[in-house]
Amino acid sequence: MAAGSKQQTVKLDWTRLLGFDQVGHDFDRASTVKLSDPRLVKLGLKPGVKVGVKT
Amino acid sequence: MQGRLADSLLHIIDQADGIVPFPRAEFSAFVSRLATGPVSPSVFGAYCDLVLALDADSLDEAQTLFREIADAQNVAWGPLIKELADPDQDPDSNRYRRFADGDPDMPLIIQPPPADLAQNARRLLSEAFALIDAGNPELSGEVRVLLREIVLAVGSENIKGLRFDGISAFMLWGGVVLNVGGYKTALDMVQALAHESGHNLLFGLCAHGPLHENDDRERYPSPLRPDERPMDGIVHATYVTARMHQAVQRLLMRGALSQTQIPQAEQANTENAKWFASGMQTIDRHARLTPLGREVMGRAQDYMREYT
Repeated sequence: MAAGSKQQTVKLDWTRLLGFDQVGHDFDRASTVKLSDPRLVKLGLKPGVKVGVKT
Repeated sequence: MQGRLADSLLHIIDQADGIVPFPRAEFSAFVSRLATGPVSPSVFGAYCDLVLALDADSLDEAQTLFREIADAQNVAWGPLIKELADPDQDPDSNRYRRFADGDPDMPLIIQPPPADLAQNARRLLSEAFALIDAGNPELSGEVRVLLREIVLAVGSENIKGLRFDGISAFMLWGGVVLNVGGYKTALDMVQALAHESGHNLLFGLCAHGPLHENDDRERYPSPLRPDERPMDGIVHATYVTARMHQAVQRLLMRGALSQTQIPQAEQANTENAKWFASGMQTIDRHARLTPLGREVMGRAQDYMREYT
């Protein structure tokens, strides 16, 4: 059986998943989510970025 | 973080069983390895990719990621220092490039560094570790526990005219990317180690909950960056500034610096104190800190009170 051939869905409870549990309560997951999705700001956030121009 | 990752993977196993073919025994063995020693930052990235693949019903991709995670072994305590390889050829480097460009507010492309600049960064790192081994062993030990990989890279200015010096990402926990052109002296590199390991420390402390309850869409002035940031960025930047100050101050107080380095250190800490005060002003005015956030920032304030 090729994976995905039955179009089954794995249902995950994001409140039980490291990182994803910090996504806001109003998060709408009707569409496919990608890493760069601004709705995943808590996940994708990189506070470690600092810039060349320090102020 | 590794304990929470194990719990998360066990939930995924339960939900994916019978839907996605995966090597259950090997995967369970990997979950056990999470309790016995450190794993590569890329494992956290693979976990994030796995959740997103399952969310998108990309089950073939999920199957590949299950295998990648199951095959991951424990790694040595860090940090392993390596150059970013060609992201089109090397899967780990590809993941670093994708996650480094994951912030919609900070579009950023990292690339492999020129050999001469990478060699210079390695020299600065070696000198920085020698300084903190001698004058700040508390920080040295902490950095070696928190950071598993230091990835050397370059990145040109992005469309906002911003250039990165260092990157830490929640979902590449234990890994940092340093811009080989971002640091000129060993003292700069000491601060980079304190700074980036500080972010990873906060990520770990947040494994069970956030530092604040502000809406992520809110933006505030940052003590370290010219662009406005979410409150998470302000809290992180302010905290790591105190950590940079402490790293330098201990070297000063313990006589670990040369006569040339002393004025550099004093200048650096004048700026660190100013940035901390600026960040705390924003936090005091706007942050809705959780009990964890109040404890973390309270300790930073206790340390900085003498210097601000």
